[in-house]
Amino acid sequence: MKKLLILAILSSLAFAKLNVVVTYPYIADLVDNITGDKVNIKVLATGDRDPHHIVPKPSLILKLLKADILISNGASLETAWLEPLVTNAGNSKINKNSNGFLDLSQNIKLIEKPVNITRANGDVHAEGNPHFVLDPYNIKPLTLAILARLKTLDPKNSDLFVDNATSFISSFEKKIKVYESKMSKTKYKSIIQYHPSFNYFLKRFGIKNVANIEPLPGVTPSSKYILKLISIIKEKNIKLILQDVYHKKDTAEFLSKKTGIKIASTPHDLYGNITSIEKLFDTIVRNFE
Amino acid sequence: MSKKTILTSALLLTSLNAFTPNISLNTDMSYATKNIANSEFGHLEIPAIIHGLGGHSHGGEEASAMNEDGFNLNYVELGLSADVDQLFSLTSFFHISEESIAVEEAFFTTNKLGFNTKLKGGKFRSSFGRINEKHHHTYDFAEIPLVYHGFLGSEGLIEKGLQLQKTFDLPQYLMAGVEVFAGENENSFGTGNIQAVNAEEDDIAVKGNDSPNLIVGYVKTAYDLSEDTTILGGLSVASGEHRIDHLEDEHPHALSGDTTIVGIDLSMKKYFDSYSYLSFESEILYRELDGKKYEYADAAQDSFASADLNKKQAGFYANLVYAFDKNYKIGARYEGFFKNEVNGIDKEDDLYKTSLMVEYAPSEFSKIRLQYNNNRALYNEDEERQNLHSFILQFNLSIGAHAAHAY
Repeated sequence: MKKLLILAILSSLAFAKLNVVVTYPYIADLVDNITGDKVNIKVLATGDRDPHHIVPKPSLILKLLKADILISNGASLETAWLEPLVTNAGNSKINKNSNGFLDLSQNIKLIEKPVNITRANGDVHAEGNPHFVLDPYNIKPLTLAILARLKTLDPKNSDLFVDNATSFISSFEKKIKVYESKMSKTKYKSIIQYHPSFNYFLKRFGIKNVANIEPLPGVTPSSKYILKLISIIKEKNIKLILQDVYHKKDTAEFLSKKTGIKIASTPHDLYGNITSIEKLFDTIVRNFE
Repeated sequence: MSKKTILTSALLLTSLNAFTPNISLNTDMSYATKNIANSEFGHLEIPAIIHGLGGHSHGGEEASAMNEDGFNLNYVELGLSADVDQLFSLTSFFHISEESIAVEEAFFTTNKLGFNTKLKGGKFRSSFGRINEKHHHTYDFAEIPLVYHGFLGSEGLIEKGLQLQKTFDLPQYLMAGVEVFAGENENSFGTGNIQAVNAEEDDIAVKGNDSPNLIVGYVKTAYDLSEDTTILGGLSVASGEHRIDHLEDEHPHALSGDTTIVGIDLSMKKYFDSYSYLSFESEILYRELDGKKYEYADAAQDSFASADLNKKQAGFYANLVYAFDKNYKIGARYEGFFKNEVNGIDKEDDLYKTSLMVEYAPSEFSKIRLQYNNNRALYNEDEERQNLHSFILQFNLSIGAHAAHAY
């Protein structure tokens, strides 16, 4: 009887799926590419909202209670909302210093690390620009970082994870070639965006970000600043605004009315029909066609 | 300095920086004007609930200072926090006024106990109710609600003790916690001896009580009506003995006995996008004080006459706040007391206050708020109701570490 019970417990442990919780939808897709249906994945944020200001509603704590690993973007993108949720979940597996916490930003060379850190320059991130997922060349190191950690937490599936990751990376590398070819033909060599969300993408494909609609990160534009933007758009003959999906469109629409500049609603993460990393880049690249 | 020394000191600085705790400093300033002079205002009271909003206070300087005519430096709050080691993190807040500095909070937290529990110990804000654990600068209005001011003081319930909290693994959010405290709160609890000023040294009328003197329990739940709309509810109980010493007052008296406070809170928050939301917050607090009241038997002030005293009181507040975007907010608060029974006799219970506010936040780190109050809960020493109108223009500025937002 006792033996049976032990056997039952052991086998239930063996079949128990790893509970993976991630902060943003794009991370869920990276995990899903590696693991398929071998783990449970829960996402805290939705991709249509400001990633800096995810609403820390109590139901998010529930998602963390049984997590075996929490994977975050890092570089202070989650500073305003994540830590109290982790503290209140009382799940020491996912504490910062444990194996069940992964900060993806540690695996990426961040751009725009400020030399002078002062909030007179807006809500700057001391570590550098945290929106690194939008450089398609960062997808591989991000996948490998997640793979390395999942292998240690779920060794019995490790071979499968390696196979899945390898095939994802190689298929995504083919997509990158397509993106490069399309982006090389774009007529939009200079653009304006709302927040510096797309800088990694722009840098990768040699697109110049002439100005941001917000004068400083996190600061709403004044009417004086908007007039300045109009003169920049006219002077430098800018034809495209990358409008993220969570800031109000009224400033972009005003600029468009005054100058005829095209507004392209551009996602920064997965939501709605954008259900995978590939579709995310497809959509952004399409805006440059 | 040689190149090597410069390099070494630079490295030393970097490693020091890495271990420097998170430091934050919050400063709150205001300009206030009202239709009752400061000198008179200090003697106003809410009958049987708050004596004297000004001069006589039980740690109540902050809220009343905010109402002083003219310029006020309400407080400076210095916060230091960091992980201690693999087990503990330490959080501290120092409340600095123009003349003094006080440890407002200093507590450790650990979640290493397992079972989705969190243990906290030291001096900290009780998780009683909804607003109590929030810091002043995160309030939507300039002042703590009247019912909190009346029952727990202008800072709310901040005590020394332990808290154990657990979140349950259920389909809906359910969290419960227990706190054991020294119970030194001067408005509803208290631990000291009650002794006549001119009594013999060993002639103590009522002996103080032993710590822990206060137990708090709470249950909180939340339900998502949709992705963007959440209802929150909670039930809290605080129970302990009281020793309330007002022997230095104009009308000297002291109380001893038992106190129970029950709080019910109900809130709802609906987000329209990342920044715009409508929030409704409300709490009802019921307090029963049961014991004896001591007054000096004669002018010698060396002995007491005592009588039974039972107070049953209840108050509430309801806040409605609308945030247009990340910069602008407007809000209204209606609050007061609707039950005020002393020894079975109803005292004044038509005690209401209305507040309106508009807030502009240029960034996440600064806000400017204009608030109007009409307070009809105040009485003068001749027991005449005073109708207070006041305006407060408040500036709140933070530098340093960026604290996460509470829901």
